[in-house]
Amino acid sequence: MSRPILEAKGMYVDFNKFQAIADMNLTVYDGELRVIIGPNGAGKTTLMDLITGKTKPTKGRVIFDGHDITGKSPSEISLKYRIGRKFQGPNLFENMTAYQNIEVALHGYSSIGKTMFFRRTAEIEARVLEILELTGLAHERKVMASSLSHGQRQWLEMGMVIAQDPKLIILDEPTSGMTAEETAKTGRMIQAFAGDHTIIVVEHDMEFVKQISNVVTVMHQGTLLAEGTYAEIEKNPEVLQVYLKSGDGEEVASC
Amino acid sequence: MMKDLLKIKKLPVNRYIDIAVFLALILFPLFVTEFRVDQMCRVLVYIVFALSIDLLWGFTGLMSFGHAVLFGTGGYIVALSYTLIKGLPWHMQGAGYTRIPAVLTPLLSPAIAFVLALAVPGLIAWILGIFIFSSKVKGVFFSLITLALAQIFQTFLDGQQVLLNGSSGLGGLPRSILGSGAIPRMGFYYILLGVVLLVYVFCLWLISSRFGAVLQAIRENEPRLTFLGYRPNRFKTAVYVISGMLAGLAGVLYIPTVRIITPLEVGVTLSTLLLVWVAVGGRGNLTGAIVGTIFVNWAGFLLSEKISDYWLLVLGIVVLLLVFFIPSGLVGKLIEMQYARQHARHKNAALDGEVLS
Repeated sequence: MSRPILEAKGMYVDFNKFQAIADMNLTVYDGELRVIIGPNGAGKTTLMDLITGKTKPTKGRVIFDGHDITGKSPSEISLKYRIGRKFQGPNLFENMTAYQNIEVALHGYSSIGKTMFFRRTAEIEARVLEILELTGLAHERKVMASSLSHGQRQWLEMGMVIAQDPKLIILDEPTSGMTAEETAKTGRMIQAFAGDHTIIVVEHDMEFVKQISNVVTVMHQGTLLAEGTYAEIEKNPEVLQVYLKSGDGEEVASC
Repeated sequence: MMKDLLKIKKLPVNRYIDIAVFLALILFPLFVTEFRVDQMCRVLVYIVFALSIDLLWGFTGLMSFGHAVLFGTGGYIVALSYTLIKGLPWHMQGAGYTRIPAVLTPLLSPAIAFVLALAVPGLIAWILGIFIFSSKVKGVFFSLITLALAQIFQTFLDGQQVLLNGSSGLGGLPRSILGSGAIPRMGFYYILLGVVLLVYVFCLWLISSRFGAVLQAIRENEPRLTFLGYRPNRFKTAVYVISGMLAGLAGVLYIPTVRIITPLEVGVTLSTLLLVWVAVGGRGNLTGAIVGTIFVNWAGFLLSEKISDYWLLVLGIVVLLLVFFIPSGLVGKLIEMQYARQHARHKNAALDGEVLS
């Protein structure tokens, strides 16, 4: 594959002596669609926190696109280095319309002066509508985020990430709480984005992983357990053992 | 599709209320006594003040309990200017001054006093904003700090015997603006109304801009915003400065309207009342601030005439009930109802669509 765009090397995070992440290494290549799986508490979300600047590592370095972004602020990482993140959640501006949620996320207008003299040009409007179309929310543009269904809320946040126009997209459990139909739709959406972006997806749902995955990274107890294609991972005895032991593994076992 | 487009063009319910309120305010003096016009002048000043806090509290979610500090600063600067222009005041003569100290001479220019009356509150808000917001003070602690400031300010003014005549305040001020001669009552009313309209249009422009959307996003979910490349602290400081300058402007207008200013009038009570007005009308839509200010103040005026003994108690109970049963405020409730109706219609339309396709 092409050059590495993200390298996390020797990451450690301690929360009050609890090691959430211990000697974790992750390399993601430009244009790749990477899936990260692991049982609850494996440190997947914490690893995403390290990459996006929400948490500072105790040790280790994060290199993104040739820059050391270790310990930089979330606003700098999102604005200057262009990493966009959809939270496990979803995490929205509740009493604002779907349109406003996307518009606030739109890249390139985050300084005070630019926000004040921002003009809603036809191009911008078209771009926001295009994103709403892409996420299946065009009809809901005037609806408050709080009135959307759970699945629509997940899509809205994915739309916000797209609006950021990031080099790297991180999607933390994009299908949680979705119906099978919604999950499949989300998979198609992610695959549509995958062409132009590097994407990391943190997931639980094995069917979904199978649908979208290229390379899968398995985390366990804050560190790397295995990495490979879905076919390789599902035969890996260590992975099977971890998943069976944690009781999270019905999906894997049945595959 | 055509119907859809028309729906977008439709104004929110509160903009119609705004138009109605401004029309009523234009006609108001034609039908009432001079006394009522004077009362409404005071309310107009308070509307500017209420709009300033709505930007900060209603839109950005920063509940300041000390906004009267900024109002009072603007007011006192102009009041001192008016006082000095009349000559060396007796409270300064009593302290042994024989002429106006050099440091105060700029205030002899009404224009400079006016600029200072906006700039100093803005500067205070800027300094406070930088310290408070960068120290990650959030939510109720912001309210507590600003409440303490309101108390400190009032105590400070009480102590300024020589300069500001202490607790008696500065009185006998003319109904003039920017060094003009005395303005007739009616003319003054319409000047105030003009300023209110300008401030309203400015606020409307501000909140309709992307800046306004970011303010609301801070209120809704500040941490999320940092992951979209924003620095919320800068926006919070900026809106605090804008709001502070508008509060200062309200203070400036207060002087020729009420023609006296005392520490008690710009103390903790005013800071708190301000929040009551906006809470009753509804936060974060501008209209609520206007309607709430008019409603609560006029309820106060009229009640105090009818039942002079315990009007404040009655007003307090009414306000309490309103805030308890209509937490989003009078106008806020209307907007919610309009949204609920549109949303229901929208949902039905979506269902019909599914059936058809």
